[in-house]
Amino acid sequence: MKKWLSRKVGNLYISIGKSLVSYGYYFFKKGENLAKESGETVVTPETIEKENLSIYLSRLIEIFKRYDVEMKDDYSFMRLRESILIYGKRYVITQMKEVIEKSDGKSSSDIAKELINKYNELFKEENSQYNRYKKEIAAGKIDKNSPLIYPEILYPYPKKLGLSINNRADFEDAICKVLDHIYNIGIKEALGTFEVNIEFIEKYLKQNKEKSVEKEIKEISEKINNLLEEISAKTNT
Amino acid sequence: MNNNALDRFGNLKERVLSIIESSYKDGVINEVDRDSLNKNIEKEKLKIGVVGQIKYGKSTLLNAMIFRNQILPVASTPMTASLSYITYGEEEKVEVEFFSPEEWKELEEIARSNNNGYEVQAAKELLEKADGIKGEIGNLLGKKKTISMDKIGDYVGESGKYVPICKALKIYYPIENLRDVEFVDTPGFNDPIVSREARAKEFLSEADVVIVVLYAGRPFDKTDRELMFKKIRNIGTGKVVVVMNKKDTVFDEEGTEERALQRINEEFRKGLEEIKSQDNVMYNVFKDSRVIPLSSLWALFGVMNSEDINKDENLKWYYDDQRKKFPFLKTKDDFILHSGLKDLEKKIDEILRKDKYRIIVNKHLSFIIGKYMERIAVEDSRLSGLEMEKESLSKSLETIEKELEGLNKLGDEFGKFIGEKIIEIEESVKRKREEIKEEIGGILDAYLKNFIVSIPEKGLFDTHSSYSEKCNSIIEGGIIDMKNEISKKISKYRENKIQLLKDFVYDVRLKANELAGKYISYSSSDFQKMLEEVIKLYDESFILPEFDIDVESSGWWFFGTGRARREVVNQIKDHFKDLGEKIKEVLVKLSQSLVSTIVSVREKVNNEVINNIKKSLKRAKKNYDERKERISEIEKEMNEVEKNKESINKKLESIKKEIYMLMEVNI
Repeated sequence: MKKWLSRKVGNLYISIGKSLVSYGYYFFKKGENLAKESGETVVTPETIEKENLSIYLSRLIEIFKRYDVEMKDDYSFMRLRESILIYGKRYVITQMKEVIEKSDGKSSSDIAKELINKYNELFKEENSQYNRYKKEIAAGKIDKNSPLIYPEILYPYPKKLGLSINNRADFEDAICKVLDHIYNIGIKEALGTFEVNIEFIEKYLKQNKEKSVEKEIKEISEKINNLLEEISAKTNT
Repeated sequence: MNNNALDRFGNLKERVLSIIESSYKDGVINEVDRDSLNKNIEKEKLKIGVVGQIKYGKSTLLNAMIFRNQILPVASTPMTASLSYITYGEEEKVEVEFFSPEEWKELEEIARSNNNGYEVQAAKELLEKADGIKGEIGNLLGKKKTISMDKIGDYVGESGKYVPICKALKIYYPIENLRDVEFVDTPGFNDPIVSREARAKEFLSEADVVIVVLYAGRPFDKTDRELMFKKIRNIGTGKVVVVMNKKDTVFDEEGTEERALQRINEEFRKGLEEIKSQDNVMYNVFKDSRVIPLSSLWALFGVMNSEDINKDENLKWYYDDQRKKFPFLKTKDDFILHSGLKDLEKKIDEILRKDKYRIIVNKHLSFIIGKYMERIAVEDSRLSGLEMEKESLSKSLETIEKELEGLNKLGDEFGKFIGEKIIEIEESVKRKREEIKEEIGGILDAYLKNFIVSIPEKGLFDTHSSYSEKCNSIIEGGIIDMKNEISKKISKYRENKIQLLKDFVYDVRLKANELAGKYISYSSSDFQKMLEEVIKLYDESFILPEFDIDVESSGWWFFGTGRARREVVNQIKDHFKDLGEKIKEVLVKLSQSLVSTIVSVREKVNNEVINNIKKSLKRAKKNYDERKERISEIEKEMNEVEKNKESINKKLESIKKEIYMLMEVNI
């Protein structure tokens, strides 16, 4: 009996000892984990970004607002792209329209010269929206309920523009550059519609064919109205 | 001595720069592109990490490899100064960065904690050492300081007084070898400062090559293993070079080179086998490494000037001693030959050749090639435009007007078609994404449930290790099966997306043919040809991103009677949560890239096809009265464009050849 009791007590001590070791190890591991967890807040942002190269769409909210696009899901980014392209076009058209509208009392050759100047100016102009997009993204708040977007959303432009995206800062920069590129595609596309008219206005001016010049101006003016109609139809839908 | 890898890297950069310059002169890239490419290339540096315990001869190795002289003081990289960057600077200087007050507070908190972990011990040790500079600490925390090289010992030396508060130091040195390279020495282990540890890990994961320095007399001892498990886990296979330094000390005992090397290799394999049983990830990092026996001391003697050796009493003593001990070390070349330095450089070169060199060339030159191809595409489209104008001029004015009108209608209808298609595809992608998310969610739930049911309670007589093993075998096997099942699902989803894109391209082709037949006549074949050029790009270059759903589990550890099962279940739940997030990310990426691609097709078709044809027809219409003259003008222009195209093509071919030479012949 004595033997049995001392064996039982001995076993009890062993199991208490075992448990103490277990709990000791448990707390040690828990502590280690806590240290790791607290460490995550100290790690430089790049480390986290590298693992998860994405941003919340809400960071772009200011850009969305400017282009009048509603932010529903991640595909809204495509709507934004389309809207920016249209805004690029609209910029050119309104500039050309201004020249025509201010033409009262001017001779057709003067209007023609102004149109050519405006066209060349727009062609050469640095229409970069890049810095504005940068500021707008910087001002964009993080709303964790908004969808996440990944660099894949920019395909195929980063490759075309020679951009490499290694961290979140690169990704945001690439968004600004790609959107700016698309804005400029809009500008080039709109300028393209006037290219042939401008070419011929130049030619007719040299040949002093006043009637032909007038015809070209009229054609440009018609195009402006048609394009504006087309754009407003697109932005309304 | 010729420093192969570093010199080659410098040469490669120079040649890439010269190609960039010549494409700028050709007008293929503009000034902004040129400057940004140049800047990027200048920024490209080789990052070489060195990992190893204190007193394993890392400083001597770096002195031999980089400085070719005894520049870094021996023991300048003790375990407490976690990071030493060595990089190029116009003048020799050392920048010391101290901990921030927050980091110091963190350290104090760790030291106060009750457990006996390595971090806690190290934190306590640092605080004890900092006692001597108590009065100064407040002024130094969070600051940077520039010191001269001879003061380096105070900040990193074994008994340096500022060592405890020193976070990192950057050594700038004005030698050409360092222009394109950055070395980082990360000797610390069990670092109590998490941010410092994270920084070291981050560098190592970005490093092109990581040299692991072991001591030939005691390779893979407990501390080595600790160090590796902590620092090298994430760096991936293929870029680790293992050197067994101080092979001269083994020579001493073994007498012959052959026996010494055999012993080093045996020790390495033995250590590797032990690692395998502890950590499979680590085993994979090292399993293909061939250990390089090295004597950095011999290497240093081989590369140093005799004058410099003679100037230093200590060095001179060692130099004479080694020559006496090892009769085969007669000349400086003998020192280099037997040191193993060449083998190390060869190995580094081999690793860089596989990856880094290719990246340097491809990353920058593929942009230039793209620009050349764009130029060719522009010339092609000019050519098609001119051909179309010429053909139009042979038709009646009425036909041209009719064609233009038809093209307008075609453009409208085509735009509408793509617009509708995009919405349709978006909807289908959204639907499918939800479907597959649900399917995969079902798989995850089923496995999770199964795991929870299968994990037994820890029996009273189970030891921790036997219980852990039991749980591990249930989880690991199941997780592999589950990941396979999910991977198959995602693969199918990805294939489905690729098919969707192919179907879209097919539909675009079909619709284009239909509309061309309906609205336009003589420009129809050109329209289809130009459209094909645009669509072809999507057929050829589009690759949906590959996915990787590996979520690293940090190993399963189980403990505590009574709590054991709960801990296991919690860990599995966490793992599943991470896995679920990762899978969601892959699915979103796939759908975003698909829709983005399709949207870009519309931009391209509008710009590069429809508007181009319209322009040609409008020109024809306007030039109609003087068509005879215009036709001869067009022919002249076409000749010029052909010539232009030919010369761009020639240049492109020569660049491609040059790239081939850079990659295959000269590297």
